[in-house]
Amino acid sequence: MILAVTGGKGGVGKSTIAYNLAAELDALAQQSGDGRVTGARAGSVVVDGDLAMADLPAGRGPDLHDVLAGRADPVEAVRADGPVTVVPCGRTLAGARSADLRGLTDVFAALERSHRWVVVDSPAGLHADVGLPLSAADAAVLVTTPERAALADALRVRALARELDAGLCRVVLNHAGPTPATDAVADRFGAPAVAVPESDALAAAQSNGRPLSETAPDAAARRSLRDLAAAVQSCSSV
Amino acid sequence: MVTFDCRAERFDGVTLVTAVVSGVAEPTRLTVANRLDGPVHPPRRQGVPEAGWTDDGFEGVVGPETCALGYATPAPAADPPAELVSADPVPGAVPSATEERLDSDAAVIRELGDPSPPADAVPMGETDASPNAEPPAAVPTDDADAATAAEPIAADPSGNPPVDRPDTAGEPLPDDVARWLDTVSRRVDRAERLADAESLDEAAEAVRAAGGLDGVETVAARGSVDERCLRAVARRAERLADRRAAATVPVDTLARLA
Repeated sequence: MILAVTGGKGGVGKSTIAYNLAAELDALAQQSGDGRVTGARAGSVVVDGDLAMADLPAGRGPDLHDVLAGRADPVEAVRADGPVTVVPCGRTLAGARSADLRGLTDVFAALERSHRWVVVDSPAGLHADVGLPLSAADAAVLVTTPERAALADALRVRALARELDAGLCRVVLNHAGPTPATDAVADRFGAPAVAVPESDALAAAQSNGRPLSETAPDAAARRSLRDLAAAVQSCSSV
Repeated sequence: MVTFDCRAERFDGVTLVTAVVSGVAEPTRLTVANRLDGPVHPPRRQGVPEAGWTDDGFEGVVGPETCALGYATPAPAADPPAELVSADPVPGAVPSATEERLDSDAAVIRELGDPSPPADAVPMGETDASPNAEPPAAVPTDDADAATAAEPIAADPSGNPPVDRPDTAGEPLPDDVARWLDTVSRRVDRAERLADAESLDEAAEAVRAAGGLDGVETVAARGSVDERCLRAVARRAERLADRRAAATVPVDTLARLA
């Protein structure tokens, strides 16, 4: 299943949600013993789809820029040695320029052959690098914060997702306060909302390149992430 | 009754072909084939050909209305430049151009725009080598591999280094000079790619590499300036080199006098 994690505005936590969602999907699969059922396919892989401003952990080796420039195969860019399997993206503008977006859909399809979940961490904005993952995705998770500007941008992406036939699985209300307006958000977006509370532990885990399930498994935000993963899993079985 | 009217005009080494299909009473699938001896350069948005254009011409549903088509080709004009191969009514079909469905990657890119940074935004000397590659050599002129990697589309497809490099390879140039030569060399590479593109794909790639049609115009506009600068530099460098060769500094004599 290809899942686009998107949101419109920058800095709302798309990468953090995408990374941790992948970790929780793996954890769920492990719990239910799904690893055996899925056979040869590995669990989840997060693709850093922000070609110009990548932010997932990278390490060494070929990355998405290399794949889109025809210098490497998608499987060669998969880093399975970290706590979450990632396809990182290069950091240079020259790399972003040499990457041919028209190959993006094929990359997702290739990764889906070897992984059960392809979680695409989309960039901000409304350009083709947001549209192509949505167009390829089986479902989308929209990330926003409760701020007006973020919600407005998320609604624009919502409209684009509709046009591209990407079903909206969940809206994540990130950095939520103690009384999140999940009902109002769900009403407006036409999909259930999951609130992820403001969490220093989550921010710290992300900046260390680790999922929250490893660094602070009992944090309140962890429960939200687990709920989100369960919801995504149920979206996929529909 | 569907009628097809078509003409070609040549400007500046490019033939522009325009065709008008009139008398289309209901949605009709048209196939229009280029009859000139050269590649079809179709209309584009965001560097991606408009829906319906192929290497051979146009195929798509139009109407019911008069429909205008146009493309460019480097081939010389001839009569007829294009031909209506078929016009088959498809009642109830939606014309492909009216409200394009975002159902292909090309359509998505056309509609939303390619977010790649423009060529001018890529810092000089920034290379696109993979993290595993050897670090670039310190002297930019020796850095042929890294420079071509930064602009893979500008590199010669045979893998040969750009033509100006052998002249300077091995002899380190001052940084500023090397950087300027690299910049001009990149523009020359782009111009060559644009001039040599024969297939639709090559042309599309070359235009993309040049940064879209705006970039193509920049490359075209900078051409004569670049050439004048390069020749002026060559002449001045040649004169200076001659003067320098003729002037022998008498170190020993001067040392004795001191």
